[in-house]
Amino acid sequence: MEETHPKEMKPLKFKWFNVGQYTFEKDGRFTNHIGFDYIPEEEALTDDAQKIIDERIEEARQKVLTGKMSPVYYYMEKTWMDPITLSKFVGLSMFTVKRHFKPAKFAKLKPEIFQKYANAFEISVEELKNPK
Amino acid sequence: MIKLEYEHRQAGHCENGVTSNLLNYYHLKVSEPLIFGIGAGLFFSYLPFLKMQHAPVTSFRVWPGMIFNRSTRMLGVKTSIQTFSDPKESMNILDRILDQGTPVGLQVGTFHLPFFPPEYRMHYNMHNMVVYGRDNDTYLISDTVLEKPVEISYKDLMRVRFAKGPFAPKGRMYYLTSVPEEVNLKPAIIKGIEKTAYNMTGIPFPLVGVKGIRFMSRQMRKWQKKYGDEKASYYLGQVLRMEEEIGTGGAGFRYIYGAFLNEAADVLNQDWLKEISIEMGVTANRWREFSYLGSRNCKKRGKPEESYDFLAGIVYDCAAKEEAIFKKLRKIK
Repeated sequence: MEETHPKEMKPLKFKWFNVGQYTFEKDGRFTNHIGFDYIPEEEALTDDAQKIIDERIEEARQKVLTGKMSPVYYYMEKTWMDPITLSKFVGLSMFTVKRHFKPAKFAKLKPEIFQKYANAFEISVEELKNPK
Repeated sequence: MIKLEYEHRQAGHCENGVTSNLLNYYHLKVSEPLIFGIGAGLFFSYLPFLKMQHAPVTSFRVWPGMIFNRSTRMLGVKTSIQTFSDPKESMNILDRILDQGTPVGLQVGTFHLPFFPPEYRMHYNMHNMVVYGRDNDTYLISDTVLEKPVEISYKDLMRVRFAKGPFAPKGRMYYLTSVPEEVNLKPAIIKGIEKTAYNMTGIPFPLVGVKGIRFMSRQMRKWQKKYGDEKASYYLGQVLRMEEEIGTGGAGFRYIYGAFLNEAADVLNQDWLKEISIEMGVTANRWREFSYLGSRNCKKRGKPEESYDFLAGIVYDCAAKEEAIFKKLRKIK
């Protein structure tokens, strides 16, 4: 059997949790680690995802400010949702929710629908209409 | 005030940990890997048409709830599972069952869990934890991802039990109603292995099992050309997160499954399973190699030879190894 046991075969580092991780030792034993060996910050995956999401939020904000997208899109990114999740929160179909990303459609919505979105994002209707 | 003598133990994965700890409360010592294997938890599926968090769904395990259902059924443990439409009623019933001296497992959404750090939040509705006691307004929680038990308020608990979004928990709660004093592990283990081997190699559908791994590997080669650098690296990052970060015990449950085969060999007195467990460990190491090189690629620090083609090659290799393993495991008696 070929040896695949690189030197850096430690559990990946998590930023927050000491999740129980299993490893496979060279002598054929499986062990359950709870404490971790230290792995430098740059090796962790979590930070990167955070940065990507921050970038997405900022990009969404710019799109809303320049009038390409409606505030629903910005608040969706801000609360870490995606169209499926948001559609379940407001009780509309994903197709409808995606249509409301267009500023022209958004402007014509009924007050009840505004209220639904405001409840989903936990903000007031005023904030929903005028994002910062 | 009620506080049961419930032993909190950390685990690699929330559902296995909860099941194992609940059985442990009734003096039935079944380890986490055994629960995972008996429940036939190992799986693979790649669904490019279903996007969550803006990336294709990649899953290294079966449907949530299945491990608990299958493993308890195989062991002859009787359970009760309930969902609710009224939050107040669900909390009343939870109180009543706790007062009878039964620890209760809950399915919750993680986004509003107060003890989860804000940076780790996501709309993930399939987390499991156990309530084992309560005071007036606070509940005692044993969450297997944390080192120590924690407390949560009535209001927060109600909120996370009725989190919205895909796979909403709807206050799902479960507890054990009758536990046999002794269980026969042998048939349960054999059935679990048979089921897993069928799931991985037998299902005639291209997106699941070993075929699914191959399919993902083929798609991975095209990502960069099809979606551009940024999106490709986000997709890769999402696969790695599902593989390593979301409580899998490492390498997409492959380590836990190896540990299970190792224990099963002792229980069944079949030495060939030990050899297969070593093969499984080697495969798991290969998966971890993929996640290491992949995470470097995500951050654009990878060497040129560690391209998507190279990574897809590793995944393809893993598929071949797993196919060999499960073809052998299908012959178990």
